[in-house]
Amino acid sequence: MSAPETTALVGRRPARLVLGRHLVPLAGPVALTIVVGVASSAFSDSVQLQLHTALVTTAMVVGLSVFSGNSGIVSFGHVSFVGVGAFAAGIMSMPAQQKATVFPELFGFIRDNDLGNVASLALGALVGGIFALVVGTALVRLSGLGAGIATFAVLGITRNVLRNWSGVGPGAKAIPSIPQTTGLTQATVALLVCIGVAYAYQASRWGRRLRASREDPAAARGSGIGVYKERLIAFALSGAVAGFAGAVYVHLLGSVSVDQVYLELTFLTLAMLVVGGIDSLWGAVVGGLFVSLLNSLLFEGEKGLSVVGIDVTLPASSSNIAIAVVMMIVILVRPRGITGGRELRLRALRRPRRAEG
Amino acid sequence: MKYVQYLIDAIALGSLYALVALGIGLVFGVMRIVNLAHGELLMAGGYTLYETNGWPAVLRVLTALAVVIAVALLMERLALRPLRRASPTTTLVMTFAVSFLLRSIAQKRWSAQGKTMNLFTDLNQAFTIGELRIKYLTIAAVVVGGVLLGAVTLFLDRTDLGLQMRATASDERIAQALGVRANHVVVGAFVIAGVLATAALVLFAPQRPVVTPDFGLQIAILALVGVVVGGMDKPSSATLGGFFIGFANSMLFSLLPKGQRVFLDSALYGLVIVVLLVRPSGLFQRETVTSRL
Amino acid sequence: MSVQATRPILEIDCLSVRYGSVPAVRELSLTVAAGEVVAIVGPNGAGKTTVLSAVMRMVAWSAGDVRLDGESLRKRSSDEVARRGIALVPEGRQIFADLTVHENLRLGMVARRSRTGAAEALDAVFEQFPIVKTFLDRPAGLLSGGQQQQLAIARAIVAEPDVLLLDEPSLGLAPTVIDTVFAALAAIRESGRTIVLVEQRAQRAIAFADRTYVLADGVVRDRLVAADATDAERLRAAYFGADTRAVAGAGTPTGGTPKVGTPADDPVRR
Ligand SMILES: Nc1ncnc2c1ncn2[C@@H]1O[C@H](COP(=O)(O)OP(=O)(O)OP(=O)(O)O)[C@@H](O)[C@H]1O
Ligand SMILES: [Mg+2]
Repeated sequence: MSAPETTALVGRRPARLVLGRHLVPLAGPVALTIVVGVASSAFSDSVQLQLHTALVTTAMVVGLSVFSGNSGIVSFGHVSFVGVGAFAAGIMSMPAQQKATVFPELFGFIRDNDLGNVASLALGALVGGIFALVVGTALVRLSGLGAGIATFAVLGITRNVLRNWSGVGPGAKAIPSIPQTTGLTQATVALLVCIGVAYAYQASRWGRRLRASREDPAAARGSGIGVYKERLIAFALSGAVAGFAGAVYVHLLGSVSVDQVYLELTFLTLAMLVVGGIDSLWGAVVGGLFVSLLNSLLFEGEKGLSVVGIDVTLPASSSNIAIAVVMMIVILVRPRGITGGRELRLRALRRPRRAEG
Repeated sequence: MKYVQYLIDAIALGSLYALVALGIGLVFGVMRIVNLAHGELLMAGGYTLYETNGWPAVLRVLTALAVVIAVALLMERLALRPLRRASPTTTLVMTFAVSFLLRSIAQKRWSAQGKTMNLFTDLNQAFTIGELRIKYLTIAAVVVGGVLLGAVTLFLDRTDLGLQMRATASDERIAQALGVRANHVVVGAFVIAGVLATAALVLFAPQRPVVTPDFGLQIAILALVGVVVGGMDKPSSATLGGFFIGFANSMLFSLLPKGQRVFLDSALYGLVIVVLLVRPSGLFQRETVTSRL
Repeated sequence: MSVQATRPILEIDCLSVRYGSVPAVRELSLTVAAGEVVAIVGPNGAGKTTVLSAVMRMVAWSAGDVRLDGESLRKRSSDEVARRGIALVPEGRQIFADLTVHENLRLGMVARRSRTGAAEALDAVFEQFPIVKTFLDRPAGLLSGGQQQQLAIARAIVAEPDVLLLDEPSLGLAPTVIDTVFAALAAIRESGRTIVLVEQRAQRAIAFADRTYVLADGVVRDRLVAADATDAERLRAAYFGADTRAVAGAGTPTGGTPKVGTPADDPVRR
């Protein structure tokens, strides 16, 4: 209860503290991102690819956390938004001449046009955001178990449609020939953008209201906060971030098929969020990078250092076993995640979180 | 006559999904947990059948039953019991992790390639009545399904443990204040769910002879759809929901032209969302009550 | 029956309970001797239900201890407490509406400690509450409020507990039914069981009990004996604190004397 209130007091505090309040929580995720990004250039190609994958996957987790972290509602369906973002960016990045022969059934405006790199990323964000807005309009009224199952159903629908509707995508096939523009720079910048957006939202009026409504729905309603509206804003924004991350992801992969944006990725991103700590942006970033690291270590341990290519994005089953076990242990012994669900703070700036109890 | 044929097939498939749904519903009733790892019980049984290929059929089924129940109890003991007081969302995430863990283990052990269960394949043979072609499996599904559903109903109605399970499902706190041991009731629910899952597996095996890591997931997701649509609060409504979803799936599959069939899944998932929205408190009423405490 | 406190059977020792950050019971201590009838009275929100729930381990304690026969209940779950001989008649009856009367009674027997004598216990309950026998196979939800309360008490005593906790058993009942309930309680007391009775109908409870604790804001405000039942001023002060102008009807819906029943029930009112 005290978190939103303390945030609300920020405006009245001296500038130095305001800066500190915003800089410190933001500095952690940003620094971690840059360290991972820069460090990656020191490694071999296959390790680099894994680190870039780690950055991009973390961006997806940040997208998920924009909704789940602020609303307290777990979504099992965010990979839907990653998926549509990835597919939109992927299909529009595939050269038009190729599309005409490989996917003749596509709608004309999809088949006959293609987009540049940045435009395709923007498209991913847009499509993800709009899709989330549409879905969210119905779903924000649910919470708890109902929301969990309904978002899962959204994932099922998205997969079913993407897999079978050859007017908008490749159907059961993969989209080939997507320019692999996501490297060190783009992966790092993309994650930084996602972190920036997530933090800006969290610190904004809307984000604070949603957090307030999570901690005490009755009081929030009493003070005139429309919980559903606040949830919808978060849902749409997190869909946009997820769609953007999906777009960045296809430019890393070079090709994408429906199975790459389904249950396994859902599990991986959810595990990252839960392991890191669902309540904070810091948790999302730490969880994303930590689990990726774990994943890579296990992968390297199993296959040796020589493997390159698409396998990296589909973790071998033993690393999945380990991630599942780590996730379960975290839920059992540290249910708020390894960061404890807090934003990073300096001791000097930390104020009692539970002023009221 | 064609439609009678469809009807018979649909009733058979409905019975199978009813078995799976009742298992999910019983566990939800006593624990308020939606077990996303329920399908992995069928998967575990499926791989047991594969591994025991060549043994006498009865022994294979009993072994599968033992394995399924063991997995169910381990799941409860290690992952869910410690979360008895946690929020429904936390337990949902946990069962998702359990499901993923078991599928990953299966993938590592048996690979993503399917393995043939090879059980009761003779049941796929059919006899004809006029134009109707009726598989023995259809008869078996309806009979076994009916008998088991009846047996579970009798168990819930007549035995002390069954009574305690019903009481726990309706008010866990009061039931415990009367001396009902939560663990007994929960173990009872998981054992019954395991029995039902094994029965469903044995009846699925002849018609879907290949077990993969996702074998159970596909079945359980559809059953879960049925449970949600039917209503989770009562075993009877969960069972009916499961039957309905199996029935509808089979019917629509037969009736729809191929081009439209592919979007059947979307329609079913859409149905889940609509039901959750239109009857949210009706379906999950108890959840809000217990989660406060 | 005046039981001089001999062996303490139930001891509540510095017990605190909080709901989130809100304290409901604060360092409460009270002792109940074997065979005694102890009443707990107090205004709405005083923490009476919370005390009983805490004894049953239905809510977590934040500090303190509760002992049954000298043994701490700290490590016990509510089903264990029940099977050790404490039975609760919960606030609002809480019978299982979907189950039959008989099934409700069978659930009451889950906590029985002796394997034998179940049939006799059931017969005794039928004798005390004939209504329960009449409607044995009816869904309990179809019974009237008074009948449900009798069922709730019956369900608790078929377990033959040492200690019976009752949470406002007279709430919402007609005077004649209340008489039935108190007659049943008198019979239960005769059988030697210890009773802890939470009531808002203070006068009747105080008169019935050997000793009474007045609870307000989660602490014991006063202790009374049966003879104090007619001391209106003292009760009022205990209920509302020294600073309160005991004006009937002011502020709380319960008025000067909380949840006063009919005048016949409440001599203070006259
Ligand atoms: N589940 C709960 N969550 C939060 N606060 C609660 C809960 N139950 C009770 N309280 C609060 O604890 C305090 C004590 O409540 P309790 O029910 O024990 O009072 P009571 O004396 O039984 O009142 P009444 O006479 O109305 O039954 C009250 O302030 C109440 O609002
Ligand atoms: Mg009360």
